[in-house]
Amino acid sequence: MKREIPDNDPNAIDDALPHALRWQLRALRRDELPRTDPWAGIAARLAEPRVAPRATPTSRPAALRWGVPVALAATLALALGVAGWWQAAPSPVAPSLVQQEADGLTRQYQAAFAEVDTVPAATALAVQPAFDELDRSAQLILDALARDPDSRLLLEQLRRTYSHRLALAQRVALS
Amino acid sequence: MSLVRPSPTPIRMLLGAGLLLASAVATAGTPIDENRPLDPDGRVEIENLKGRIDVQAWDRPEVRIEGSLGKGAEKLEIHGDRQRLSVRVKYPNRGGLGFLSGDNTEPTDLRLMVPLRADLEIDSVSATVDVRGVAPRELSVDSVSGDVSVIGAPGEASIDSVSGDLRLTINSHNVDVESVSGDVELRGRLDGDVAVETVSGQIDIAGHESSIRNLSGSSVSGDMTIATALASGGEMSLETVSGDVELRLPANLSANVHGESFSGDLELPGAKVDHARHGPGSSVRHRYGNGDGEISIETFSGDARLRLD
Repeated sequence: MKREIPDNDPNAIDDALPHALRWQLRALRRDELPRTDPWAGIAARLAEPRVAPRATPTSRPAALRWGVPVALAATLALALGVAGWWQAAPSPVAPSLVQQEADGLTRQYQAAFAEVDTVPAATALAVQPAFDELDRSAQLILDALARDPDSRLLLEQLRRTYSHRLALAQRVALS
Repeated sequence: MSLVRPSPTPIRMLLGAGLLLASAVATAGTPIDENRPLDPDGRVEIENLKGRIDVQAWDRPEVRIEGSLGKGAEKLEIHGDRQRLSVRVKYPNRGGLGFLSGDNTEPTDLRLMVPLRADLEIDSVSATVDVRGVAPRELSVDSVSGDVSVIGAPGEASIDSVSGDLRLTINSHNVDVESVSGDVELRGRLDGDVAVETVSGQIDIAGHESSIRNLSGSSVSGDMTIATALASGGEMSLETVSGDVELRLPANLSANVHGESFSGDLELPGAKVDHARHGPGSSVRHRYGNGDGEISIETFSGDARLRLD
């Protein structure tokens, strides 16, 4: 009866050979030392100072060659996804239209104040209480807007207060 | 034990007399005494930044200017013609609000007599303004920290202040008042348009034997007290952020009244206030009489109350 020999079992192949042949083949095996000591080269390379590897894409391993673009793409996709979710998700702190107007109003008037607030310190000091009062009032309105962000009343009062302040600053500057 | 005040010695008396004399010299200004012709319907522009501006009316076609020019003031400039006259205190190399910053010039007092119906434009910084008995077509007063007092009957009045208080007794069809922190007290026959706006100043309006056609009141933190009558078909709009509003109107009021507040209390006689079911906010709407006029009151945190007398 012919014995079945598994393809991937070396011991099975060995067992299937005649006894004498098996011993002859074993006698052919011998250890052979490498002609040069590889550790010396490895140790020398480890001792070398690290330098930035040259950009040699062709010599990079495949994992490295594709890793960076794939990582970038993944990051971009993640960012787009997060951005899309951020826009799609209803935000509890999204500013109202009135608040957006108030923010824009504040920015524009602050820029205007910066333009005209170049009067001598002594003069500005003389009307400082009025400026302080106007600034306090503007802050009071902004605080109120945070509580009632859709109030047209507060937006109009904010505009009036800034208008008063700008008019006073212009008057001081022109005097 | 009784305290005995030592009698003044001759040296002390001399020193005191010297100090009094020095003080008198220091405060004495250059006398002003000028006359200029002006048509009865002409216009007078007055500018004095520090001291006083007193204006009274007479029935002559001329302007009389008296007072004293404060030490340090350069001169009193008077120019113009019978139609338009300008009276201005000129200071050397400085002007405007610089006078609030501790300059050494003495205050200038101006006393003017002007034709009864001459238009007036008055400009002050810290000078106190007092206008009495005039009846121009137009009256304009602009002040920063000086108090303003007006008793008159201008066709139109425009009064503007920053921190100075305004006491106005005016019979007029058109009144416009603005202030930042100065209080506003407005009295008189007010039968046309009235607009009063402050930031933190208090507003107190009382109409006398008259019915306002259109009243607009606005403040950020200043309280409003208003007692007047509303003309048939008249409108009233009162807005404040944190100030309180008290509106007193005759019992025969004929108007639709609408009140709204975020966190303040609303009170209207005979009306039920609706409160938001969730969160802050309340509103009220009520018709009095035939509902000819319209009244709107809106606050953020201030209380508002209507009383019918």
